[in-house]
Amino acid sequence: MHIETFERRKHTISLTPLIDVVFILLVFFMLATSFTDWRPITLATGTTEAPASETPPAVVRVDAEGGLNYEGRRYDSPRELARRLNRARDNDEISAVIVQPDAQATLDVTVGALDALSGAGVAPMSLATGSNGSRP
Amino acid sequence: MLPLINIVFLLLIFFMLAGVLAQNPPFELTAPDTAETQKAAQLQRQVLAVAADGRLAFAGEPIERDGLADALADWPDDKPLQIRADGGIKAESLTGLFTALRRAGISEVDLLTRHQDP
Repeated sequence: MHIETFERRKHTISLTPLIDVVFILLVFFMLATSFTDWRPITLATGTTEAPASETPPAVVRVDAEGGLNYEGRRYDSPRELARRLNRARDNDEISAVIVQPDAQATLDVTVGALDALSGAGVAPMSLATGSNGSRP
Repeated sequence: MLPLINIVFLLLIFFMLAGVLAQNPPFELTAPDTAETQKAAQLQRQVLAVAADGRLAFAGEPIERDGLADALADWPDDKPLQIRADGGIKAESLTGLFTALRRAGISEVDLLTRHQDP
């Protein structure tokens, strides 16, 4: 009986095509990925059923220029308003803060007001989207 | 040669794992900036994009406002819809959009803002 023995030939795989493909993949992922740091602001699209509480919420109106209006006074600096709101909350005069943008206020201005107030320690805070019919 | 290939492989794996494949809407938009919002979010694959002139795109494809209900028909109730809106849109058009979304069965949305260090 004759047993055939195959001689193993040594193939050396050429690395160059592999590197080419890896480079193309690298460039694709470098261009297609985004590293933007997204921060979400959660909002309700409709009427939120807030629990009826004894103390009313404070409504802060944001006008088109970014000014904050609360109880008939216009505040240019959010810090000043935040101090007043925090004091009122500590005295149990208000239960929460609702930020209500005017119809012509842009999203930049509205989000800026929300951000500045929450940065100054005002909480809990929500954004009135107007769809609940509470526009003055 | 081999150290170079090792580094390229490492870079490839880094970009594959660390980033999110961006799904860009077919129009330019600049999301509003925030500095104080602490909650972070991973960008989902299906994001509703809103241009400054009110055009909409869902998951990278332009759609009409009338088509929102069809596009969002199988959206789960407990998952907020991520919205990438241009910072220049007016509050009244956002209100109109929210009304349309509520009709489409969306009760909660996540308005995406870009984090900027103050």
